[in-house]
Amino acid sequence: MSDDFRSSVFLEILKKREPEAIRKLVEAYHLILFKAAIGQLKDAVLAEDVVQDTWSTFFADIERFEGRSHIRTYLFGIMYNKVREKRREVAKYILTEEPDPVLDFQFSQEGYWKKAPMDPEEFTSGLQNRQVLELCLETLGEKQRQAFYLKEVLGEATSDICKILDLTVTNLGVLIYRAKNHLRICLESKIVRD
Amino acid sequence: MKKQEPSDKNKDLLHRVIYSCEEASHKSLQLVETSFVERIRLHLHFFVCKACAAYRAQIQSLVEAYKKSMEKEAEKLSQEQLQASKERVIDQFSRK
Repeated sequence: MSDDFRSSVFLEILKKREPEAIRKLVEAYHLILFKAAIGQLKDAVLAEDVVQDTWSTFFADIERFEGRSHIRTYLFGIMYNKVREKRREVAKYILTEEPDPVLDFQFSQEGYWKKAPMDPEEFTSGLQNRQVLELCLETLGEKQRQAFYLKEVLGEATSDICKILDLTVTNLGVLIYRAKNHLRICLESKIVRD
Repeated sequence: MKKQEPSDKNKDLLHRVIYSCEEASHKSLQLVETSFVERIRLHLHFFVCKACAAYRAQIQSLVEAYKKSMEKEAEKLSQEQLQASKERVIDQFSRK
């Protein structure tokens, strides 16, 4: 179905605000946008607000959309801007992308682990406690969280994520590497402590 | 974890042939496609290094746990609420 959205015919129908075309698009992407917004905001009500705002902006700007990128990519781009605005509004998230000094001290000068990672079974069993995971997720930077969600949960293509978040492949790789390692280290410390 | 670091002899081998742990952790998460030789070096590293194998398993577990956590959060909004939310969009933006 998503291939239909690439066609110029569909785009023209959409620009004319044909109800069936809008329904088709909303049915295809509303839930996925909602889940992605939850992935960033961790609050179903805030996420629903963001998705409604995303559609408003999409339809307000649709005349200018030329179909150079896929509608899905365009929608996600809008949504992540809305998420950023919402976060500033509720101001409870880390907005900076400061380098994480902990990550730089995982390895010795020779490149070996200073402290070997925890036994995977113990780690996985500690993850059963959702609160621990949520605490650690809240310490992720904004772009790290967005990149991690798009790559790992939605399985978006690297090139699309780069377009959505306006990043180079190298920067995206660094963000995802840091997100995973930050979470891993945070979880290990919480699991041990608990 | 019994085998935190390889022996001195193996360390030398690891360094010269199959990456250090730091390189292996970077390579295992990188997004750009790696060459056949790089993949072999990486597999060999994970084969001989228990710490890195544990690291890789941890990363897989946390990704799975994260996915599940997001699914649970999404379930907080009922199907009826979601449908109503979709209908609002369709109604608001369709040509009258």
